[in-house]
Amino acid sequence: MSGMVVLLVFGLIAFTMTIGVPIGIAVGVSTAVTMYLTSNTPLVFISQNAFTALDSFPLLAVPLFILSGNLMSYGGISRRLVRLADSMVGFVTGGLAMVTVMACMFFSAISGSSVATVSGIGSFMIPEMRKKKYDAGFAAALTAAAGSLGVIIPPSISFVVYGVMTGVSIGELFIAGIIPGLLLGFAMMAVAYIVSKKNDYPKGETYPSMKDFIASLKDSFAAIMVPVIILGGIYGGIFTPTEAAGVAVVYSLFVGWFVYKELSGEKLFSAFLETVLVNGAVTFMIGLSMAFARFLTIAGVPRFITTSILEFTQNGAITLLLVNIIFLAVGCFIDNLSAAIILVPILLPVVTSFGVDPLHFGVISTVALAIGFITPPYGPNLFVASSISGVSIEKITRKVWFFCVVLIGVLLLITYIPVLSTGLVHFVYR
Amino acid sequence: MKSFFDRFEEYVLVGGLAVLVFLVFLQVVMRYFFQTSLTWSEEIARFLFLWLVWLGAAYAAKRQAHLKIEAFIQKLSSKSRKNIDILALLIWIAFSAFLAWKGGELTMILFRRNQLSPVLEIRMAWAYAAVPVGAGLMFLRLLVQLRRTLREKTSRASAEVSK
Repeated sequence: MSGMVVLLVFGLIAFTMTIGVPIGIAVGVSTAVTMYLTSNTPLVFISQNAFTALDSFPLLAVPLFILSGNLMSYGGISRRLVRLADSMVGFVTGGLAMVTVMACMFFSAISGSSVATVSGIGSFMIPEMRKKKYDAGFAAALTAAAGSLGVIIPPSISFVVYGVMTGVSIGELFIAGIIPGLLLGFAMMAVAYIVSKKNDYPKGETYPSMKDFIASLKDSFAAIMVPVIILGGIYGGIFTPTEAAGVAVVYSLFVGWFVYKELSGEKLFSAFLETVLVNGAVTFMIGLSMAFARFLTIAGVPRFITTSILEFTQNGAITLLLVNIIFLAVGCFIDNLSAAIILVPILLPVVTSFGVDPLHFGVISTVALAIGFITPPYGPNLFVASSISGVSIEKITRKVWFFCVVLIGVLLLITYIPVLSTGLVHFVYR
Repeated sequence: MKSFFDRFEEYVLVGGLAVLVFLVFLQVVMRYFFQTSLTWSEEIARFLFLWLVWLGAAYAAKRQAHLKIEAFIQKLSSKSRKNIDILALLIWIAFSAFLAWKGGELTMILFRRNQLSPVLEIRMAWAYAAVPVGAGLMFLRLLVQLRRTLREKTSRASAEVSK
């Protein structure tokens, strides 16, 4: 019975997605048809979940974090973050490449989305790198890869969604993402260094001076305060993640309007409109896939999958490897949030039966699916990097595989050394 | 007139988001500075969010911003691509009609039972209506898109014939 449900529902999803039905709709249709054919659950079940799954205060953090990131981009933050990064690492071999990664790390700590990070930083750094004779494909690939940090370094929309779906504390997930995010950032800097050394890319022209550093720190101070407010506020128990997102919106509005004076009524409207558009295209999926997940649970599918895997292997390490391969493969075709929304409810019971901490699994799934941002054919960061730089997707893809290999290496570290994710959480909370 | 209708949708969504930000921020300010926690702000914010999601989903359908896999259909010839596009669109249309219908059914049940929200005692039907209304608007947007796709197809076919 469960086997037939699995075959039917995943067959339908694969078919409808392949012919270009939007991902969320594909999940909804497949659930409805499978439910109708295999069970006598009334179909109102789906419309009910389309409401109740979204009737959640923590979920409000999604549009709010998208909005604060947009306001930051429009409000002149990116340029200041680039300058700050330049004063810190610009002097190293391949300085501009280093600055790109560093600036993406800063930007990730402000924005919860990867695509925003690529466009925020890439629109400055890719032209700069090309001016200094960096290979165009490499420049774009580097930015696309570093942009994936957006969903790993907190705040992160992926963690909000994972937390809402699984009941894991969003605040703890944010903390758990810090060390993996830094690791990934440093790994990418190492790649940038090696490639730059090999190709003789120039060092920055000026040596770092304390004066420069302090000047740029002052200039970007208001922006750097965002992560302090968000993380400090959550851990200090002053506000919930959703409220932190609301405060971040008001704060970035204030900074963009009164401090940097780069926001205008028109820009404000665009920032809001872009937010409702992205929110509309993404968030409704959570409602439909919750219907999907609950129906599968009723039909006993997670248990069925767990026992099937147990028949195949009793080894937790191999199961985690398998799960990572699934994430990476699916990530090639669909975006990270859709993939997480579909896969996490099915795979979480599987890995927890091997004793994996749901908090740790949140980091694993987020990092594994973040790599999907730069794996073709569907790599949102590749598209953005290509459209802001004018470099063809093929050219970027030829340079991006090296980053993929390194990121997968770090993913395996994160997977098999849980303390990298959970250590800091235990230190802070317990 | 048409452009006003188009903009109207944008104003509603942007205005709704602005109110949402205000409510969440107000809640923090009241608690932190005035030591009073609001309960109604959270409830309104949640219902507003639901409306933003479902109206936003309809708006995203109009702007063609929904996420889909294009890797496979891109490889098709333009003629079979058109046919596949129409099939995908028809499935989408059928599902939005289904969701509008089942969502409407649920909303009517709640309306008749006169179920009220816990804090403000608003009729829950007003909140649940976000699903059928959003799905219904999406349905209308998709019909327009279907008509456009069909028309493109026939005009291209006739152009080929006349050649």
